[in-house]
Amino acid sequence: MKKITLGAFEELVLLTAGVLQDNAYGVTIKLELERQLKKKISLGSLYSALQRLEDKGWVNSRIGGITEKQGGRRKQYYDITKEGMMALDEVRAMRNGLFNRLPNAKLDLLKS
Amino acid sequence: MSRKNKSPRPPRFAKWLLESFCSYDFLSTALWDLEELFHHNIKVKGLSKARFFYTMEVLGIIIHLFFKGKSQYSTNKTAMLKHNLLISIRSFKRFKSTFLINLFGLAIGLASALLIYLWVNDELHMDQLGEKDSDRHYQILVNTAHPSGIQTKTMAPTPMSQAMASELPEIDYTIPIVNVKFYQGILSYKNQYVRAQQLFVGSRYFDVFPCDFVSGNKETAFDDKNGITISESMAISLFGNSANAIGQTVDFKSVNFNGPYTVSGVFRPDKNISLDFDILMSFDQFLTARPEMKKWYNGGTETHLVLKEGVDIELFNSKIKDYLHTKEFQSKSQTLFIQKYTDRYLYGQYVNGEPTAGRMVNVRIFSLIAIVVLVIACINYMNLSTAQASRRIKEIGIKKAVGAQRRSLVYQHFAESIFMTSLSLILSVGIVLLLLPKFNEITAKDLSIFGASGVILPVLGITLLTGLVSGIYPGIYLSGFNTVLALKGKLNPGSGALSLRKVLVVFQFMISATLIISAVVIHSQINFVQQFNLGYDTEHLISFQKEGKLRDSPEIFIQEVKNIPGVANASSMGGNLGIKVSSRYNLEWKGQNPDDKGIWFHFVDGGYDIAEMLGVELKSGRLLSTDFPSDKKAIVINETAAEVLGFDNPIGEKLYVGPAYTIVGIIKDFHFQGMHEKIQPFFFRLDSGSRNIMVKLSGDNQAKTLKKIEALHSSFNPGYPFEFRFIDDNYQKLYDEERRISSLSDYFAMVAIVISCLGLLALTAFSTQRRFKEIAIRKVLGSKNSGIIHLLSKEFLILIAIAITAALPIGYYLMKDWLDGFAFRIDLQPFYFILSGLIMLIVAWLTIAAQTAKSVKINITDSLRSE
Repeated sequence: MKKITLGAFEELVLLTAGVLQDNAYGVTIKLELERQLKKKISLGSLYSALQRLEDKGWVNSRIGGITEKQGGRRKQYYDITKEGMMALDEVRAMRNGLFNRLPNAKLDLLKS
Repeated sequence: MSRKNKSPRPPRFAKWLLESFCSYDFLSTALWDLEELFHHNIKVKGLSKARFFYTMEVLGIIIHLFFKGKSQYSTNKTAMLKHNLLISIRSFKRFKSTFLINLFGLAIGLASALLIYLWVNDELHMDQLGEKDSDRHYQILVNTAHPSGIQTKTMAPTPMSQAMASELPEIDYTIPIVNVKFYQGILSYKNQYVRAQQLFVGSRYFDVFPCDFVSGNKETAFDDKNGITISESMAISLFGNSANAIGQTVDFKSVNFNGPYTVSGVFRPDKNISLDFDILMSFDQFLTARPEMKKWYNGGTETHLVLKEGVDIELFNSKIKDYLHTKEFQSKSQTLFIQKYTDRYLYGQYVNGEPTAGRMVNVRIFSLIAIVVLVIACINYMNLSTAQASRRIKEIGIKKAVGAQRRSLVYQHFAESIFMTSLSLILSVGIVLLLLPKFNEITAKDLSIFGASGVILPVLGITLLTGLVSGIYPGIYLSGFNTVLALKGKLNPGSGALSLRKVLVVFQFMISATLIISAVVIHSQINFVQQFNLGYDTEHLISFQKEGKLRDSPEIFIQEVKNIPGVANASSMGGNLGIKVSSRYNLEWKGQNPDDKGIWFHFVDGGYDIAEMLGVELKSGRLLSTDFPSDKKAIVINETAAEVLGFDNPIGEKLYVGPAYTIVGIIKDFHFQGMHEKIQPFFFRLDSGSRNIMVKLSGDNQAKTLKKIEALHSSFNPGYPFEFRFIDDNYQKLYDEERRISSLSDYFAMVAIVISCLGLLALTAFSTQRRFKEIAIRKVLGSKNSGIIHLLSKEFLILIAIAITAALPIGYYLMKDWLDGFAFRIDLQPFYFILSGLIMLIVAWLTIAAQTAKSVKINITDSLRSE
C-alpha cells in the first residue's frame, strides 16, 4: 500500500486548522495563514487542500452557523482528527530527528 | 444613496459564475466564506478592491475545481466542459492544419475587426464635447443659392453673434469663433519663438468646449481681453515648463494683433476636438484690433449658439431662415439654419443646403467591412468543421447512442467554437499590438488598445458573438445525424451540407471580389484626382508668410529673391492656394439680378506675375501687366465668373468689388480649390499688401536654392523662422482623407482575400484527400497530371466564377454611390471590373492549384493499398 503523505501546504493548513480549534473555517484559516506566511493565498487552493485532507481522514468537516442573515448558507468548519494529529506528529518527529543530526559546523552557520 | 442603508453586494457576475460551476453543497460553503471575506476586505481595503478580490477568488476556486478538485464539488457542467475541451484539444492536435487555418483565419478577422472598432469608436467620440451646455450647442450655417446650386458655409457676418443673442429670446448665449486658418502668428518670449495657430473665441467658450487647464483659471481666463491661453507644448517651448507660465508677458506678432499679451491659462489639447489651435484669445480683443469687423459686410466668423431648454429646433430654424435679410448689406440669396454641433463632425457635408453624412459614410463603410471580414472568418470555421464531420462522425454516434441529448451536442460545438475564438482573440491582440503603430500612421490618429475606455467589454462581446455564429451551424448540422448511420460512419443521405458549403464559399468570394473592386476603383479615383490637370501648374511653387520687414517692404525682398539663381519668378500673393483662397460676396455689376449679390467670388490678389507663375491659360483679353498703369484698378476673371456676370463681352465692363474694377481678361477655369468642389467664380487683382510671397523655383537643385532663400529671409528678418510650403503639398493634403480610405480599403481587401483563400486551401485539401483513391486509379489507367488537376480544380473554380459574377453588380452600385461624393470623378469602366475579376480568379486558382498539384504527386501504390 502506498504511504499517505502530508504535503508541505497541507501540513500548514492542518496545523492552522488545529490552532484555530473550534473556529476553523475557510476565511479564518486563510487569514491566519496569510498572516503567518506573509503572502496571498487563494480560497481555491485552500479548498482543494482541505478536501484532500478530508479524503485522507485527517480533518472532519461539520456544518454550522446557519443564520437568518446569511440566507441559509452554511459555514463549513474543519476539525482536526486523531489521525490528523498523528500525521502532524509523525512529520514533526521526522523533522526533529533530521534536525538533530545536523553537524555542529552547519549549526554554526546560524550564529555567524 | 448612502452606504449604511444598503450593504454592498459582491459582483453579480462572479457569483453567477460560481453558481454555475459548483454543486449545491459546496456552493453554500464557498459563498459563506467569500461573503465574509468580502466584508472583511471592504473594511481593510475599500469596496472596489474588495469586489476585485472577490472575482479573483471565484476564478481561483473554479480553476482549482477544474483541474484538481473532486467531482462531487462541481456541477455536471464543469465535468462536461472539461470533457468537451479535452475532445476539442484532441481534435485540434489530430487535424493540425485545419486547426491552424481556423486559428489564423479567425485571428486575422478579429484583429481587423478590432482595429476598425478602435477607429470607429474614436470617430464616433470626436467632438462629443460633454461639457455643461454641450447638449444645447448648435452652430449657424449659411446657405447661399448659386445658379449652380446651394453652397453651405460656416462663415457668417461677424456682428451676427452679438445681434442674435440680443434679438432672439430662444438663445441662451452665443459664442463667436474666429478661426484664422491661413495665417499663423509668432509667439515669442525672450529669445524663444514659436509659430502658433490662433483662435478667437467668445467669453463663454469653456461652457461648451472641453479644455483641460493645466494651470490658470477657466472662469477668469478671458476677463482681461489681453489675456492669452496657450497650449502646454507652447508653454514648454517658451518657458521650459508649464508651471510658471501664468502671468508672464509674451509678445505676439500677427497681421492685426501685434502686441504684448499676458498668459492667463495653459491647457492640454483634447484629442477629441476637431478644432485645431495652439492659442486661444478673446473675441473682444479681435474686435478691438479690427473694429471694422463690427460692420455687417464683414464675415468670416463662426456663430455658435446655446439654446434655452426646450426650444423647438424646427420652429427656430424657420424663424432664423431669413434672419439675414433684415440686416444691411445682406443678400436675399442667403438663408440660415442651425445644426447640432455634436453632429457636425460626422454629418458635415452639405448637399443642397441639407447636412448629409460626410465622415459617417466612412464609419459605415468600415463598420460593414469589419462585419464582413468577420463573417468570412466565421464561414471558414463553419465550412471546415462541417467538412470534418466525416472524421468525427463516430464520436457523435457514440455520444448519441449512450444517450446524449441533441442540446448537449450543440453546446459541445459552441464550447469548441468559443474556445477557438478565445484562442484567436489572444493571437489577434498580439497582431493588433504589432500593427497599431502603422495603423495610427495611416489613419493619423493616436489609438491604443488599452487606453480607450470601454474597449474590453465590446471586444469580448464581439469574440463571443463570433464564436456563437461560427458554432451554430456546425452544432445544428452535426448533432442532427442519424445515430445508427453515424455509428456506421456514414453521413446522412441527401445531406444539405455540401451544397450549403458551396453557397458559403460563393458568398465568401463574392465579398472578397466586391472588396477588390472597391479597392481598385478607389485607387483609380485617387490617382485621377492627384494627376488631374488642375488647369494650372502647381509644381515647384512655394509660398511663405510675409512677416516683420517683409511686410513693410516686400518689393525689395522679392527683387532680391528673383536674383537668386534657381528662382524662376517671385511675387506677392494673398491666400494660400489649395488651403484657403479669399472670397467675398456683395459684388455689383451692370444689369445684375439683385439676388446675385450673395454670390461668392474667390480671388487671389498679389503682384503682376501671379497669373503667369501659375501658368493659367488665357481665353481672351490679356493678363495684368506693368505696361498698363491703369491695371491697379483692373481684374482678370475666370470663365465661371464671366458666365455669372452674363455680359456678352465682359472685357471692358466694370465689376464693383467695393470700388470699380475694369475687366481686362478672361482666363480658363482652373481648380484653385479641391476636386470635391465645383469651380467657383474667381478673379485676379493687384494688391501689394497681400500676406504671402510665392516663389517659383526652376526644376533642378531646389535644396540649394531654398537654402539661399532662407539665408536671404533671415538677413531681412532675424528671429523669424523661414517656413514655407510647396503648393502641390497643399493639394495633396486636401485628399488626405481619401488617401487614408484608399490605403485602408486596400489592406482590408487583402485581409478578406487572405482569409477566404485560407478557407479555400483547407477545403481543397480536404476534398482532394478524400479522393486520393480515385486519383490513384485514374493515374493507373493513364490519366495525365494536368487532367487530374483540372478535374480537381474545376469544382471550385466554377464556384469562384459564380462569386465574381455576383460581385460585379454589387461592386458597381457601391462604387457608383461612393464616387457621387466627388465633383470630378472617373467613369466606371469595364476595365476595373475585369481587372478585379482576374485578380480574384488568379489568386483563387493559385490557391487551388497549390493543393491539387500536391495531390497528384501521391504514391499510387500507397493510396491504393490503404484502407
